[in-house]
Amino acid sequence: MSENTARRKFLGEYADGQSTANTGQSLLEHDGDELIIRSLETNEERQRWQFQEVEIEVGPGISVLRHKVLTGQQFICHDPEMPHIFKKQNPALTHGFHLKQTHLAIGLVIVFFGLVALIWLSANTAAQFVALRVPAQWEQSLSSKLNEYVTKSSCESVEANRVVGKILARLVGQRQLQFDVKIKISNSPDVNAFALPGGVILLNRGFLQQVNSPEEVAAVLAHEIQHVEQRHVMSTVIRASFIAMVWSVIFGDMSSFIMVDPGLIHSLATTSFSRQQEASADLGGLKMLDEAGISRQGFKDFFLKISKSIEGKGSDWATLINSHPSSSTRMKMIGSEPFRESRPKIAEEGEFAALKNPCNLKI
Amino acid sequence: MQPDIQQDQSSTQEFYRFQFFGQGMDFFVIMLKNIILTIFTLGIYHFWAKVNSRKFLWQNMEFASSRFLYTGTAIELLIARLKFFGIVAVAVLIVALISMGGLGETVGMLVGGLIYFAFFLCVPYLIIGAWRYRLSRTTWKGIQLGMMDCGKEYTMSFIGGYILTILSFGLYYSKWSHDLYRIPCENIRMGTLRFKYTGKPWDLLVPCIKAFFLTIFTLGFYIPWFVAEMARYRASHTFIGSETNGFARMQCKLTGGQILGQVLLQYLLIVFTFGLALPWVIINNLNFFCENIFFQGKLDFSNIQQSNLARPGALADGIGDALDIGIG
Repeated sequence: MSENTARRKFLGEYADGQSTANTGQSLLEHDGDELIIRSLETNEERQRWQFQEVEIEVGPGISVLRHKVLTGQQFICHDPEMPHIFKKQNPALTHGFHLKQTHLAIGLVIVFFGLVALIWLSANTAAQFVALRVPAQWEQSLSSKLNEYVTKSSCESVEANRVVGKILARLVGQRQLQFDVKIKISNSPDVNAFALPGGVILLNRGFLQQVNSPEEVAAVLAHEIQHVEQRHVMSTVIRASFIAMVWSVIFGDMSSFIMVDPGLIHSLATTSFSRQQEASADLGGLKMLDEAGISRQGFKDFFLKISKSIEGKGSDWATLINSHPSSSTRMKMIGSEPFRESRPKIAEEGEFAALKNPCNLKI
Repeated sequence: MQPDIQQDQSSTQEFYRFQFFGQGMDFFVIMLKNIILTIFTLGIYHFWAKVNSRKFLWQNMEFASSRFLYTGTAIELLIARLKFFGIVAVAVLIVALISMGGLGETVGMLVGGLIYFAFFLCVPYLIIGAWRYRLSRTTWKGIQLGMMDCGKEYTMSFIGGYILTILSFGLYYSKWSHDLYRIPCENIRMGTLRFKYTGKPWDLLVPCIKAFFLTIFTLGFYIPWFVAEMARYRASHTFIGSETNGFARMQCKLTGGQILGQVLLQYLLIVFTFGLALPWVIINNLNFFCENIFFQGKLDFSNIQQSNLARPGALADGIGDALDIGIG
């Protein structure tokens, strides 16, 4: 370091932490291991500090030298070179939060969005990994609270429940499922069906009123059973909770951890599945239909109907498939016609009519 | 007692202004670094991030040619958060023990509800506690700021005023808002300097009633004009000083149109940049504050003595942060 640099003086404001009487514009210079503060007005020496007795805090456009022992004694300087020169003199001195390069800002933006993307992409895989290891009993205990919530909106029809049970028995056959699947019919006009935690499948009245054959009901049931069996519901809950937790951690709001109610679980559980999960449920559902001797025609009719509806936009059907695979992907999955007829028949005409009006509404 | 400034209208009066020197890009970099490190450290850095932002904002704010400094530490905030975890854990444990014990789930829910209600009642106390903590970690010319413990008085006024405002169909609001401003204001200390508020509880009754009707008739557009009127009244009755140092009166030049313009500007900047402009919006707000609020009078800054105010812990600030109460 040159003598000129070493002897450089810095203008700033000194304060002794006791009274403003001794505070004011001052000059700071260093002499060997000592820092000398002099009054700008009178050149009188105000303080003499040892280098090892001070710490420096550096921020954009401001540096604050503080005495470690004499509490309250400080020197505020706006010269950006002061911390660099003093750091050369004493490398252990400088610490702070100074960051002021534009390229660094751009770099940080890229890192930030990369990190967000990484969390977003890995959330599905991580959530599925964890979900497969959650015991089925735990998921069922979650559904017991949810059942109360679902029951409030469900409607009862002995005949419709019997027909749905019959289709379910046909689909399940001899399979050993992880869950005792329960189907509830909701008195909601929305065209929708959900898989909920613990093996509960919710069919909306609006959905049953829109189907054109029992095969379409079987197709949707098979699809939803696959969501249950592949633990997509638990995976979605875990993913949503994980993202909510990351969000809370980043922004410091932990109030959401205090409030947990069935309504929240319901909204998490009915959050749409990923496209990958939907495709996987489609494949498993088609296999179930084949093994149960049920025609793929219902699957094709129903899912292509809603795919086209989505492409036309604005329909009630949109709520069901907003993350489902495209119609061309589904066509490849389903295979080419003609499909075999269901043998034996799934439901008689009278049974299907009862299914179409599950809440015994006067039509 | 009315400070001397009321009588002293001589030409010897001076202006004491605020000035903010921070740049948007600097604050943007700090906020970005805060977010990234908070993610990487699974939230632990949150407390250091908070301190970084406060240091930047405090150190770039100048009053009467001297900067404010923030001396709080992240460790204090971290310890406060851990204490809060402890309090929540005890509350949850009590409810769980009652529910699983002989008293049953209903009693457990009742106790849980009472604990939750108690938290709500504590909110005014937390607001004062957080301000006391922050002021006690703020220095100006090496003098520590602070606030006397007025949590109990503020809480009583907050809850009582809230109930009375509802029962009086809003007529009590003038007195309520007066108390909520006066109590913290008169308890702030800047070494031996203190704040004095000479406003009257019912002076704003007519403006409040007028604002009620005009807000309805203008679909809310009158609100900025009401806020400006309140701010001008409060400022013109707020003084800083002491018997030995003299007094200066706060002045506020804000108009309703300025506030409306500022709010609209903020809204547009945030929406059209998807939130990326937040640091610039915060800094713009601070500059807006500095341009429109200042002190006028005759104050001797050369002999302010350090006070012996207590340095409260960060628990109230930490709880407010954890529950996102929005203390500011």
